[in-house]
Amino acid sequence: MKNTEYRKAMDDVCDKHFTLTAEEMLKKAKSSPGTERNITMTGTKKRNIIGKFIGAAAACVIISGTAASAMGYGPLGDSFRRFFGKDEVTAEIIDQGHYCEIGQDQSDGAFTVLLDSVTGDQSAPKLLFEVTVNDEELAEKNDRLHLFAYVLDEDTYLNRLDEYAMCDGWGEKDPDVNNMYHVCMDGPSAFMINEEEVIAAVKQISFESDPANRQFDYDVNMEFRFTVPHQALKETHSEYYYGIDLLDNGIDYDLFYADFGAYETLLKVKYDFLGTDLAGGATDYYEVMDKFDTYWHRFAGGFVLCVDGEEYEPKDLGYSYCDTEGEAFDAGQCSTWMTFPSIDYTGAESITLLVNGESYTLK
Amino acid sequence: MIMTDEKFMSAYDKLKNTVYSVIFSYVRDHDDASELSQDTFIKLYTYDGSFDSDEHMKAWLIRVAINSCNNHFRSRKHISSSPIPEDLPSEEHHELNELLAEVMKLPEKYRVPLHLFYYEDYSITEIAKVLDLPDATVKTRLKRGRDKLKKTLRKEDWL
Repeated sequence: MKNTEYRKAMDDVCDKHFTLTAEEMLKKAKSSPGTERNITMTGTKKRNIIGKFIGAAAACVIISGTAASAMGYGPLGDSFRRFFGKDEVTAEIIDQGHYCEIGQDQSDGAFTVLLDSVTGDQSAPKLLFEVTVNDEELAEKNDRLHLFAYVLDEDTYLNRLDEYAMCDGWGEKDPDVNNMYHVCMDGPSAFMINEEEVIAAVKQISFESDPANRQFDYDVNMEFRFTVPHQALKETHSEYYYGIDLLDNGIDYDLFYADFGAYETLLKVKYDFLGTDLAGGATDYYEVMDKFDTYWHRFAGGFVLCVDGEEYEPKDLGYSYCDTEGEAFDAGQCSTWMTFPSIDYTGAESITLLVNGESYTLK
Repeated sequence: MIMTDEKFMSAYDKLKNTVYSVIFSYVRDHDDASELSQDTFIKLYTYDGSFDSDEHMKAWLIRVAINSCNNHFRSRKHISSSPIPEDLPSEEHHELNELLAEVMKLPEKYRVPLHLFYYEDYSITEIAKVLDLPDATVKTRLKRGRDKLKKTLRKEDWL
């Protein structure tokens, strides 16, 4: 490849598509929020922050455990445990004060849905709903229900809804109220960690038993708008890695990302499938994906995460996503993942991944 | 060196293509590249530190640009709740020079070192430093990237 031709071609692209003049760029830089070059906070900046805080507070009340008790909410973590007893991690996150109350409800006559609050960590935010089913017979027949909702930002919700799947969550019946269900739904991190407005649009409520109506799936249309303050979600730690190549059977797995969250530790790898012996000349990944998943599971199943001498075995092994047009990352490139139990990244002195006797440093 | 408005504009004129091109080589989308390039220059404008030389500033800008790209991808990390990242969009693809288009089709781990090597004339050590990779990894990726290009480019187009 001739560098002069490459450089000229790239310069042409730059000149055509990045046409901002220096004066225009300077103007943008000067008018951009947070461009005070003096480290001392100016009055304007202070006012902006206060305004932002008030704006956020209007949509979402942050309640620490202590303040909540004083306000009469009782221990929030214990309330959560009452409805979601198996999810001790979330209960502890709430106990630590990572929680924000939304308190918006809507009704369409058949159902009343309350978006009670948001909690979880930055990798796995949770939306807590309370659903009241007005048809008592329907409620009588079902110990649980299934709630579906789009959780997106406004632009995506209005313009690119087709590209997204709905989030969903099962709700268990309240121990005391026969027609009320509590749903803890996993929300999309990408839209909930930016302190920007989120739309949760509840679209469907489904039941396993519906002998009277034989409908099972009920369309609803209830939109909730809210903002999630940074401190409502517990911080996670993520790292990008370069040059960690894990080799197995001619497949070069590039470990490029790890997310150390309160619920789990996620590792992501990517690899080229084209040209590998396992692909056997196939260029359509969907023809061979099962083989690749089997190999990945066999390989990654032996990984050990070692944190200050303590060893952890894998929790879940992922299935790959990829397509021949390169939608995942690049043409011919696929990605897959695995999880380990949650660990304390910040407190750990050393984190290594043990693979077939080789040790790879993650911290 | 204190960043006066004049110095900022001069730096922008000299380095706008450096910043835009490295970002485009990552994201391969003109709108995203333009937005991230502007963010990068805004960071330069608000930077409180100083640079020893123009080369130092250039290396800093490339590093900031790469970090912006990583953050850009990070915000789309949850595949189930994000649109599926697109490969080189067709309109971008069609208007690119053939050589550039072939480089842009390579996986990120090959095309970014190749870009820095051929566009910035960076040495292996300089690429390793800016990408935070071992020298040997950069060397391997440059070789593999070039090998892949050899399969698609006409012979007279590769070194």
